Amino acid sequence: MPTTDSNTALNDIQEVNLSYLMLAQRLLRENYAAGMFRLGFSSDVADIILQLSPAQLVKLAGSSSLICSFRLNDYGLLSALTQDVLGGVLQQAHSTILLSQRTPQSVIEPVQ
Amino acid sequence: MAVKSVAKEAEEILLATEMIRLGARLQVLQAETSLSYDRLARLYREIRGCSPPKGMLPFSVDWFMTWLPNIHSSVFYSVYQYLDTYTPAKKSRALIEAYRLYLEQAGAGRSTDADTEPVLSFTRAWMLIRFFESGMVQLSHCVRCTGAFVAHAHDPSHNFVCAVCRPPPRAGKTRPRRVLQDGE
Repeated sequence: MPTTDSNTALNDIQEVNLSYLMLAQRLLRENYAAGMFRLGFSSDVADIILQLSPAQLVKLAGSSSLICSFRLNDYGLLSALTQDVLGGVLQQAHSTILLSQRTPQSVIEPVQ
Repeated sequence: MAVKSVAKEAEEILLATEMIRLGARLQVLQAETSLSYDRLARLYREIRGCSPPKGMLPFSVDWFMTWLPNIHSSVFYSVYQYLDTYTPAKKSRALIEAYRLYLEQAGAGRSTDADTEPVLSFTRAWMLIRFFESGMVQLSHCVRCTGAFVAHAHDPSHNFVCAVCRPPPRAGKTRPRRVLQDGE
């Protein structure tokens, strides 16, 4: 029984991975700059993702752990975002501000 | 006078067209392209079907500091900064793309009345970038959420709390959209 359970979880992970990669490619093809912004990519990452063939995409997505990461992984930031201000009407704007001010994920970690 | 390249001109007309569609005033187009006033005015009439508005641009820095405009301009400017810094879209391209992304975000919360004016107009967005370039405004980091928000230049920023983390007591109680109808 636990095997089937972990298998569906594994399938879900791979599905999310594949959808994520395909979405990333689509966003970048439609509008490179805006896509980079939405994904939080730097141009080197964006270029690599864009050049991946479908076969490579599937291979990359086949990992047993998620290949996309949570972009708001900062304790203070996340708690500021989830606190209820004015019934949450500003939350979207707030997260856009905070997300766009993070340095993009890069192949080589940028020196702060 | 330098020899004008036709390709360059075509490019600038396309750029101006996009900006007019987003609501740019003639002054913005004159600053962003090298096209003549007459051509720009004609282009404007062709796209909008009316004469370009006359008069001065709204040029108050204080407008960007009031509560809701401040949040809207901070959204726009952080998007612009990201695009201009990290993506191949620079300057006027970044302005157009950032304004589109801003419109998308600003419209996200209020789908019921789609034809209302956005809080931050394209011309104001362009002014904001000018203000940043001339050092009249700066980004201050909120001590609570670490986000950077538009603020007066040289304002002390060590105890700054942003408009989202500490909204004014009456914020959201009046109908915020109505408050912002002044200016443009």
